[in-house]
Amino acid sequence: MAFKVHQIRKYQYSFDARTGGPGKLQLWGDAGRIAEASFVSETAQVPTPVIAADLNSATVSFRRSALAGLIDMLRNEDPVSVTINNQAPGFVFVSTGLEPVGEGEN
Amino acid sequence: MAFKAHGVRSYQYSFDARAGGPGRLLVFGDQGRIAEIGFVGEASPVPQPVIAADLNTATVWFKRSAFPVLVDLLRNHRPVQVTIDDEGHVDVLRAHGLVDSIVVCSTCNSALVAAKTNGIHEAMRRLIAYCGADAPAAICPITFHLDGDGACGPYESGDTGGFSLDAQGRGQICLFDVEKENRALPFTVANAHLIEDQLLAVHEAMHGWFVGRQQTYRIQEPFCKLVSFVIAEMPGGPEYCWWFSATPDDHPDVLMKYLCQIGMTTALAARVLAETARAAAAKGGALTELEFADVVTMVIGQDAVPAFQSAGILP
Repeated sequence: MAFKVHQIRKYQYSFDARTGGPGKLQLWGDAGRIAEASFVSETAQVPTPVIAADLNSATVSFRRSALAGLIDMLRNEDPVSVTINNQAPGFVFVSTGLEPVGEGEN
Repeated sequence: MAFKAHGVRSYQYSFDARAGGPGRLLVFGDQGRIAEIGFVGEASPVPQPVIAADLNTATVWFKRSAFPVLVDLLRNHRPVQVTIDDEGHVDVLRAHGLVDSIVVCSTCNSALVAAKTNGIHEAMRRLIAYCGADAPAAICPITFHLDGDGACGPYESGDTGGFSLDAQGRGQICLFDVEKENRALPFTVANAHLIEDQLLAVHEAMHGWFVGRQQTYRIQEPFCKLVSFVIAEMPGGPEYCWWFSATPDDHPDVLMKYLCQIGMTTALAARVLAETARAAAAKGGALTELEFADVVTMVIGQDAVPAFQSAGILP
């Protein structure tokens, strides 16, 4: 089992008018694209992540309801990282660092 | 029923691509992880919390729809608590603190109450920043009474004010601003919001701050006084050892005279208070006189026990 943690520097997302919902969410690090996320309906099975052998990139899926939370995380938390772990069947996490409570309090 | 309330300091969360949604939300306090929160689908049953026997940690589950609300709570509100009891209840909640204090007056007009409320809230914000910790959530919100009323009783000439706990264990502070003859500033709308008018409010709130952390009056009193001088910007600051230098040995403030002689400063006092809050949270109860002296020793870098002996606090 091996894993790599990649810091996210930028992200990009789209809405796809063909599906009428979220398109792709791409997460970028210092060395290029780390992850490309697709979104499936709430009742569909979530496909297993596809992980590159060098653990530097992955193709993953989330439910559509996760999109708002992911965008909120990418917009408001710092740092945010992607952990890619090749332990079968493959783990991919998008995680915050340790956030101080009440940081956004006015 | 046994029950513990843990202050939340930080949190961390993830999205899990296997589940296609929120992964784990970890909540941390002064002593490490308090709770690990998992999320289940809206139609799934919510598993029962798994609670450690010492009530210090729990593993719990919420429905996915609770996830954004929990993140909002943790990100945008302070203080936040996790309460764990031995009947299986685990709650994450926005707790009250000193800035939620309530100000009441049975004989004042609304403009005067509003001005004093603004002044007290600003002073409480500064107090928390200086001490590095809020008052214990269990005693908040504190109610400040500006005049003699059913809680404080009638004013008697010479009363200065006081802190006490009400029947529910919440703090209440009697200021007698309306009746007092010897106020430094007249009790008016123009003065009531000024930081220099909050000297007594800060002093009494500090007695509340010490609840569950250090209970000895002769330790509390000089620190309450010093913090009130600092926050209310009493003239002669920012160092106030000059004020304590002639304190007689039978006076409850005398500890500060001896601490000043070994190097206590306004900045070091703030560190002593922050460390006291941290140490009491780690212990799960109030520090003894000797434990508090050890905190001072650690912060000042000199043995503080002789100062506590000179002040008649330690044998």
